[in-house]
Amino acid sequence: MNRTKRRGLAGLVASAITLATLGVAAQVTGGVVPTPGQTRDNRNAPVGAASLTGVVTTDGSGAPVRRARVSLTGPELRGGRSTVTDDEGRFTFVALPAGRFTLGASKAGYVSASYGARSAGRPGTPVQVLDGQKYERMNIQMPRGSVITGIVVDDYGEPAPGTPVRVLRFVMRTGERTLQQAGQDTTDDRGMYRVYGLQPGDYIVSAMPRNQGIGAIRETVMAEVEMLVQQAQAMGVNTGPGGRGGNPAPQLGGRGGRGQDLIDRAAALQQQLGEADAQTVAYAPVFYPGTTTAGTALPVTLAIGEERAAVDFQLQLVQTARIEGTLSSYDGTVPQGVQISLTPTDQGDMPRIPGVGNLSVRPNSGGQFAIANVTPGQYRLQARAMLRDTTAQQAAGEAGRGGRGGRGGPIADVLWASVDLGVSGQNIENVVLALRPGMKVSGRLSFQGAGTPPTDLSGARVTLVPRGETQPGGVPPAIVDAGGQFTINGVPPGLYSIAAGVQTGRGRGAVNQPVPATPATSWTLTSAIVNGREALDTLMSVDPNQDVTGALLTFTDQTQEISGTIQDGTGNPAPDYTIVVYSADQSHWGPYSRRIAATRPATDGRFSIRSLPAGNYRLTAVIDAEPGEWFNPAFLAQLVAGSIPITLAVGEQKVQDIRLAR
Amino acid sequence: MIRLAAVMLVSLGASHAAPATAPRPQQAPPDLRPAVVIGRVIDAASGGAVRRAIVRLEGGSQPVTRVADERGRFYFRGLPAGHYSITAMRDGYFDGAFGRVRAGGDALDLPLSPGEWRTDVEIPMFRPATIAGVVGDEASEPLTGVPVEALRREFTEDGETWLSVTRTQTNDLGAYRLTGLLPGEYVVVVPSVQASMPLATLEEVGRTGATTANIMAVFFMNGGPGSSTVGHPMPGMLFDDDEANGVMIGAAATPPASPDGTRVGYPTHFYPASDSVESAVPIALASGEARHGVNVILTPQPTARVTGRVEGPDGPVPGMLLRLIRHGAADSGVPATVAATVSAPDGSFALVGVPAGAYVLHARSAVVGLASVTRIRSMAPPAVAAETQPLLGPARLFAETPLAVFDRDVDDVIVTMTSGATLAGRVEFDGPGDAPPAEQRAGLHVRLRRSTGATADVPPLGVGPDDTFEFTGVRPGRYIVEAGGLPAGWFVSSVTQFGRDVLENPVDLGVGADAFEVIVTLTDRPAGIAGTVYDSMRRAQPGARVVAVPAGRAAGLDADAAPHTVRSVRASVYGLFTLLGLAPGAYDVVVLDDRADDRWRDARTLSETGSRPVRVTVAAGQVSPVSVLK
Repeated sequence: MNRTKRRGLAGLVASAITLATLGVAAQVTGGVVPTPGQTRDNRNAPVGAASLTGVVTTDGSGAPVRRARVSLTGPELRGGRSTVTDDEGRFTFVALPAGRFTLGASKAGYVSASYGARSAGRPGTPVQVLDGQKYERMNIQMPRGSVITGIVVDDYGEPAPGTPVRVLRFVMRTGERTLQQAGQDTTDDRGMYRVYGLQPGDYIVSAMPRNQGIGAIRETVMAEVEMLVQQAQAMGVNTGPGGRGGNPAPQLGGRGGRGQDLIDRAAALQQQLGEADAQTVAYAPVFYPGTTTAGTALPVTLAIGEERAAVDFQLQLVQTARIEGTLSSYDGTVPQGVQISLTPTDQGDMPRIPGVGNLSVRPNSGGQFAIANVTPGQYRLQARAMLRDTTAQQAAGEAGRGGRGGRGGPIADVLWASVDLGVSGQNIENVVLALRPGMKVSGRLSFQGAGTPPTDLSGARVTLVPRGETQPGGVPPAIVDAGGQFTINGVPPGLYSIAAGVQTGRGRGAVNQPVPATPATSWTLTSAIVNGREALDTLMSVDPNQDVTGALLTFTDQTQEISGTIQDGTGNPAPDYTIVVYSADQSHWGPYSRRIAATRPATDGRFSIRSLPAGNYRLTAVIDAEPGEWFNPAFLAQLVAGSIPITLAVGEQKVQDIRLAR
Repeated sequence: MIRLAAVMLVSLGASHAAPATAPRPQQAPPDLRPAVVIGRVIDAASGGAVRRAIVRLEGGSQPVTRVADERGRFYFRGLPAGHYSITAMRDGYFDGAFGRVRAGGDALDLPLSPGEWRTDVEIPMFRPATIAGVVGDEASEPLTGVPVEALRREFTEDGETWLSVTRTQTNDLGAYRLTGLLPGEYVVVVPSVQASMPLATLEEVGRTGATTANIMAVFFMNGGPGSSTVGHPMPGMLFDDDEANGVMIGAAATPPASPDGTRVGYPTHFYPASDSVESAVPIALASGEARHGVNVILTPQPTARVTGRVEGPDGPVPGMLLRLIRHGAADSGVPATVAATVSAPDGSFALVGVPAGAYVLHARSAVVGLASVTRIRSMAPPAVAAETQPLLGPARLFAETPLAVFDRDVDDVIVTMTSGATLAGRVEFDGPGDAPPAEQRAGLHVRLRRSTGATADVPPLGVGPDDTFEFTGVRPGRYIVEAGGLPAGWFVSSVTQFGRDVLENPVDLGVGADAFEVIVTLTDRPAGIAGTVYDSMRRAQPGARVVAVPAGRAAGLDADAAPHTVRSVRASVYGLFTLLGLAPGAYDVVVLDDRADDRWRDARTLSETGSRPVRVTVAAGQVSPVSVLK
């Protein structure tokens, strides 16, 4: 009886958690789940006379894929369509309206593939459907998913059941090599794990031991201390400040009697807690092939459909250390809400691994902090404090948008501190984090174009986005006056990219995005001159103790477009190519460059690229490229020889057809 | 012997009616010498040490936790005399405890006298058992992401039943592994609900909490898209047909519909090849046993479509959760839902993928028992956000419509919803003194339990300040009324309605058949039995399982005794036992070895493995002494 109840509850919790995943399912089924509030009558769903058939086969072997789900999505097909392949891998869509669609197939254990994709994970070719036409042989090749499997053992070589194992794939994202979680499993009773359905590529595999013993003792004792303290408080015994949180030591010397008894017990438990903390070994996260440092992990390279077995781990007990210290600030007070974080810095070329290594604590009211269970390595210890101006809350509200600081008034300043530490199993005490005020970044907004600029610019947004190493907390929003003068107070040192948007007509403009509302002019940020350099093409550097002044942000209402058709030597559409457009100036080649864009033409060969700034470009059609690879300067350098030069003037709608040589 | 009697007195001290069976010992100054416990955590099967288990001792002024060393050793010192429990936890084992003699069995208290050194304490730990196999389809292709469940035969207060104890999913090889199993009998099942939903109904998500909750219930009926590997959502498909297109989710991707619109589907499948638990082949697992090769081949069955309309007292009813459940299997722990959907805004519904069979179509208005329901704010990819809102009360409307499906579609089924029933009553306190003070009664609540053991869909109800309770909107059926959160020292002595005992005989709630004046009586003078278990040499039998069965007319054990009236306790390390809170009447007391199994509610197990029954009569407010020969 109890068991069914428990299971019921677990089920409910699971449902709540998986609701978010429903979005994923909806995407896979072709966006079948419509947005609430947009009612439609399904019987009036667009119906046409076109049809589309094809076969889904296994990439490599050519064997048909049975029971694969095939989805067709596009703006002309609200809700999308989806079907299942038969025993020969065939699928059919009938009664299709004309339109431009994405066709894709998925099946558990396989890597989802799009029609026309050169290989797994690459974008496909949009399918251009004309009314009444029959499209046959719209075949899709799906690679069998690759597998990583192995055994996790403890330091005695015995299976370690219940250990979470994560698999992360190297992914190029806007030109930067990042790690993305591709799969996870928990070892079974034999210590075995198996992560399947993986794309070919390079993977980092890690086992994240739960340290049940150490954690459980701490948790149990903490819970008991809290319970006793609460009981004592309920009886009116003064347990002093810090009854909860970082330093839960209750003040002894209550009223005596039962309350005193509770306090005595809590104090005894506190001592146990100290013993648990003093335990200085723990299982560290292990990276294949057996290192506890992410920077020395070796990638596992998977070919299409490869099963890589024996990716085994032995968990390692390492000496852990405790880092203790104090915050200090220029005026001697410790601000509220300080966040202290410890980030590994010895990961070498390894991109940051989501969820690994970062520890974060808050100091007590006296500014003292402690971080336990730190595994050996190089770290950066950083602190951030947001100072909010509570007295200015009302005034800010009247001023319009100045008060976007969230609860407790606008952010008046950000204090920062940073110390680099080497940890080698020995406790580190008396670390001093000296909080210093952040820098000030100021400038003005200007407008170029045919339209009339907004008269009141106090609704404009100017945002600094930290790049590179992770930074705790954020950067406060800019305060912009009606005339377009802006100031951002409290910017910690670092590299930033700059973004800005202005409110036009209805609603506020999205940052750096043209506003689609036609009645008003849409303004996009086209230039940001900071310290004499174009900050939209490079990153903006904020150095310690050096304010940035005189930044000039320019908006334009002009947009540029490059469009055209790509044909092969016989004049037929050549949709298998990727069109890459990139700046003729090599100094603009690199991650996040706004002067590089790529697109896949549709089956009719048409393509279009918007939002490139005016300038000199080169255009190349490439047969196969990994998404984001075009941000790599070495890749672009190979393309220059076979490229077409294009000059894009301000506001120009350029047509550039491409005819490939026979 | 005198010492044993004294201990027994202490253990009965909590009750007011302890029989004076031994002279009270002389008052002595308190002996404050601390006791010490030294012991080992061992693997119950091999007897070898279990390294680094977390060992926890409770019963003193505060719980103490230690980690056993590399040889399984642990110690606790400075312990005041008293009764302690010791438990041990480690990955790969069931939790161990002092006195536990089988996986999942009850523990015993460890009594410590002043200054005692116990150096021989062993905490046995038991390995879980495992069932493993492969699930394939009719073409022998392995099926990935298919749910697999283990049902365990259990003897609960509701009688013999199959309870779902664990669930997993197949991997890319079609392989599954059900782990963490207690010894016992199991049935392996691949559950499959043909969950379907017209898009028009899906668009109701977020409009009303009740409909949203029901739609989510359908979506996650096959366990949801959760999987050990990212990127493998539940097998599902869109369907297009004459009336509407929608979403259909089965446990395994079904073949496309044939040109004439007929579909096949994979119904719920019991190992090795059966559609019901009755004809499944159970698997008996010993402690820690790993059973391999429990392979399942799913074969598609022709299916039909059931369409109709949901009608309520005020016309068509949208947003109802409709579940087509195998006839006679509702409310059991066995997966029996064949198809599910939610009624459309005009009250219409369509269940697809229904194999031939005899069913009952269950409808109800809202999911209950949820603290909150998560509402999808925007389901358009990629922006998915969820927020929670408090959920409405219990379900108010119900329908149970019998339905037979043969080899063709069933149309125009009218499901008529009726209001739930009311069950009301009060709690009375029956004791020599006053009723317990209000603060002790704060947690007092009454709950309804389906006599079949299913959750009642009715959350427990706190008892009001005037000691009354009233359940409304209760689904028709037979219910057992129970009380929980009792004040310390109080026991349920009876539950009656107009003088009829409803503790043993469930209350029948039907359409328009409400139940009033249900009186739950609590007493602080519990009736019960207490005694000693000994062997033929008059030696006390520590840890023996003592079972009290209400005595029938015939001599010997009464196989017809309602399972929830059979009560049991383990004898202490001294062979002493106390069983309080029994209803007055005659009982047969039987003793068996707790090592055997957990089936002490089963009359057959008792008569086959138990001792010769001893008849005891329990009077109201009295604890009757008994000695049982093992």
